[in-house]
Amino acid sequence: MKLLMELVVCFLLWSGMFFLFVGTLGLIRLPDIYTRMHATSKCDTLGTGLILLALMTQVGGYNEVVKLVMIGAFIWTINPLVTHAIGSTAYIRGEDHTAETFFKDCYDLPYPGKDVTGKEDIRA
Amino acid sequence: MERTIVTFSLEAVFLGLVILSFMSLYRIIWGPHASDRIVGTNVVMTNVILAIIILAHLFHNYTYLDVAFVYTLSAFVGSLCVLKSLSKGRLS
Repeated sequence: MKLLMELVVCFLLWSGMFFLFVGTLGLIRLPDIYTRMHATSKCDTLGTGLILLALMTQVGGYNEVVKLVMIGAFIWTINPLVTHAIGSTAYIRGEDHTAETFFKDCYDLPYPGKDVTGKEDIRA
Repeated sequence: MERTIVTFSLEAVFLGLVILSFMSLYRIIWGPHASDRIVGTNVVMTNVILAIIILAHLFHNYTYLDVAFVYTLSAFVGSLCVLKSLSKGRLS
């Protein structure tokens, strides 16, 4: 029974590591900002959850488990939120995308690539 | 602490997290736009949180779980501030 528990924990750890690796590979290999964002957000959230779940079975008392649950809940809410902010920032700044991508007009931007008054260029 | 397969896996996962952070350092340094760099720092943030928790478990010093907690919140506030400054041109 102890060996079975250890094998389950190892499976959780290595599958979390696999998802983190796939996310980083997507970050390096994919062509534009929207696809990179899509890869890292989902894979990082899932891999972090799996590794935290494996660590929850290993730490000793209830205090540590509660802290790990809180960290997991914060990461699971923060990661999609930051990803959404990155996507809307890239859209507002009008950054490049691949040729097949199409957009609907999400925000009413009077001057794309500039700031709201249209005077300053905020593109990098 | 006796050496089990779980201990070995935790050390290997810690090493893997360090390697993955260096892999995403490519996107932070040579990323063509500012948003690519922010995606890379977001990945490094998640890896550092996991590395702190794994080291806290390996060294039996669970005070560092609080460090990971505070690091999560401060990294969130930091990346949101950088994104707001990038999209609006100012921080107010």
